[in-house]
Amino acid sequence: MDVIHAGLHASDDQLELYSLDRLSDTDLIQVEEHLMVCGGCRNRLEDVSAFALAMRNVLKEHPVAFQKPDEEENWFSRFLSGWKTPSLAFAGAMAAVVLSVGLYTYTQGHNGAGMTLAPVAYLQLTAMRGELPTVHGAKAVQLRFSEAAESGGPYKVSLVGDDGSAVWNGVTEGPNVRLDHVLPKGTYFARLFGPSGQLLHEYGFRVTE
Amino acid sequence: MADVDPDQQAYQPDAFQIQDWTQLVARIHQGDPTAMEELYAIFGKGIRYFLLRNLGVDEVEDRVHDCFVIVAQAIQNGELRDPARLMGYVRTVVKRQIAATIETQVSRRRTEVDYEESLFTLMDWQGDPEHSMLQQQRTEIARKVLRSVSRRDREILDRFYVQEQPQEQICEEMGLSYNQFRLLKYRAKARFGELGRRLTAAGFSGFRK
Repeated sequence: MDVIHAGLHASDDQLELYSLDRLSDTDLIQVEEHLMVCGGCRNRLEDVSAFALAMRNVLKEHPVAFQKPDEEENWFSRFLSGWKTPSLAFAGAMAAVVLSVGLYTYTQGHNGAGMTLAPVAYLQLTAMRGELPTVHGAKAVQLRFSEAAESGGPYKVSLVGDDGSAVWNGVTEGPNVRLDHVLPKGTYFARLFGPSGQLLHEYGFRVTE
Repeated sequence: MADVDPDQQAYQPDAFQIQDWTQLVARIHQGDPTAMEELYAIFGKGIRYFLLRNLGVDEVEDRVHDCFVIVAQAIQNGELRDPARLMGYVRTVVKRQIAATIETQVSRRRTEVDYEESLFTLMDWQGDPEHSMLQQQRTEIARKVLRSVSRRDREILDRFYVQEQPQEQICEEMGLSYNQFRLLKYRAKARFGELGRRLTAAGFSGFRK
């Protein structure tokens, strides 16, 4: 990462990482000190943030299925070559039937509307004012608290609904916490408590269908 | 649009006037009122920016004033031993103010959840309608940008903005050079800015012309 001297502007990359709360602690101090006195960099940060945050929100709406490049190129040809063998074709047809039934049962069993729930929904929470981040319903939710340090815990995490009712409580050693159950559609607040029990931050988010 | 090397288009750092904090701090210490005006002129907008970004517009002028009082008193009491650290000290004061305000708001929300005024606090925390509309516009523009990129480019952006993978990892796993990675982001940003400017020209606010 670039080094910022007291008199130099922050780079676009640094401002982007800053807006995404991913700047290293060392760079964070230097960038914030510079932003304190530089209107030009503050204007650039607004532009960079607008793009980065909008991109992140939209990409989260429709997650991309990841495949390594070699797998992406070869899986279809491997599939086709397997079907050239008669015995494998029959076994494959049976497997397809079983898979179809299994998938139908799976989707019906996890959502009353018959919609497939994603296995895990990831949500990064930051203590910033603004629109509540939104995540689609999933079988599990993994939350990442931007203000929690790696191995800085134990942190107590308390999740409440928008009426203040307790939804979930747990403890985590670092910034990530995973809730292994479906959160119904609604607004939630996650409270992060420090090792000595003091409330550090409260984060809000919405779960949609 | 012709592709341009992002390195040539990136913000060109130039020398920033380095303040002589020692003299300024000494004059404030001696009670020079013009030195306080200079301090306000240098840091006023930056402090207001950080407070607005983290806490919103409520009572922002009072909070800016509080920060200046703390900084001025510390200097006058000789607590700022190294004047070269003035920028860092101002940043620390602002961060503490932000943290204290959040903690107070959260505590008030927890203890006054049955009272009517806490409902206002919750509503206000989610952002004003203008802010929400701006977010929606930016989200829609980001959707358009993503519809115009290939599946592979979308995966690259997803890895960076959602999965939070470092660019080194993305480049290695996706077979990209650093410049190719930057060029992809640069094109997406340029498209985002172009669509935003069209919106601005059509009468919508929120994007710089």
